[in-house]
Amino acid sequence: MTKRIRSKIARGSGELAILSLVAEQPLYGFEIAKQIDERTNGALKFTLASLYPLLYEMEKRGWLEGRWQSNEAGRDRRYYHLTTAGRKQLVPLRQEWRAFFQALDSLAGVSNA
Amino acid sequence: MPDWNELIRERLGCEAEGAVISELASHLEEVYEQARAQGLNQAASEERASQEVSDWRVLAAQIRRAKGGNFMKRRIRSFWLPALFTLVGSAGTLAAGLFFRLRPHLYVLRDYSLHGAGWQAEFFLHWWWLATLPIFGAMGAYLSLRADGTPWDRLAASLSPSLFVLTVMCVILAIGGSDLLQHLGFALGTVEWVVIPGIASLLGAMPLIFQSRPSKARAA
Repeated sequence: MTKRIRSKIARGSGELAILSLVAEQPLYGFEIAKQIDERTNGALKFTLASLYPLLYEMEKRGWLEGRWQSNEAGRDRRYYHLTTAGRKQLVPLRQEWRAFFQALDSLAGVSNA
Repeated sequence: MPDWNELIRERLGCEAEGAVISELASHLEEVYEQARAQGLNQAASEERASQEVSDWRVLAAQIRRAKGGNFMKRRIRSFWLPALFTLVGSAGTLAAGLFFRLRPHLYVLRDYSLHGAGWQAEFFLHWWWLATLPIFGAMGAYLSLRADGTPWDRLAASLSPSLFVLTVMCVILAIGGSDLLQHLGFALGTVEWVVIPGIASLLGAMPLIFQSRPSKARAA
């Protein structure tokens, strides 16, 4: 697998992970990275360097909207909200990944591995 | 604990916008605090935070690319639109007041006509108009703040009526020559249309300009 394809897969999975999380509730960057880490048992990890360029890119595409809000402790955090365009994007993205894993499974039997 | 804002500003370079610096700094701060809560000492916690970015130049380039397409749009929302709103609002109020014949107050500083020069140093103050400027100044700064404007954006947006008049006056002075009366007229005009309105606008905008964080846009 070339580096380019690997990077595309990582990027695509990151987009799906972020959109799915933010669809549940608005989250700020650190919380997004933390939840992805916890909910995938560490299989997917986001650092500052991998997370924010992706968040800003998704914001530019209009899938997310960042808004500064104070949390209960009075700290300002930039919470990412899912936009209507982001919600629309989530459906085909899920379908693409489902098809991708089914194809991979039929080829390599990854679900039984 | 390191000054995360300063660290990010240093590493990303001066062109990074304040909102990005604040956001990334708060991320590193949380990584550091999480490490401390897990029992790591200060040095180890700082080390963990520093591991979040392996190459700052690559990150800076990625952020620039991700944000780049947005730059003009952001600039329009954080500066040009608030400035235009403030300018049109204050000019419209002045025009409406003049239309309804609200009179300015005349201040004569020195009457040269008594000495045969036929000219008096005077200026008008439209007090009723000046009273509305803090509102427009505050609204310009607020609109800029809501759009993640920097303190300079907010300041410039709130002062846009004064800056616009100053620009026009400078152009007129440059075209019109340079005798003493014109310089005196320019100085009085600057006080009348730039300095005093600017101070009035700033009175309203000041609390919003000096908010501690560069961006604090609330949910719409």
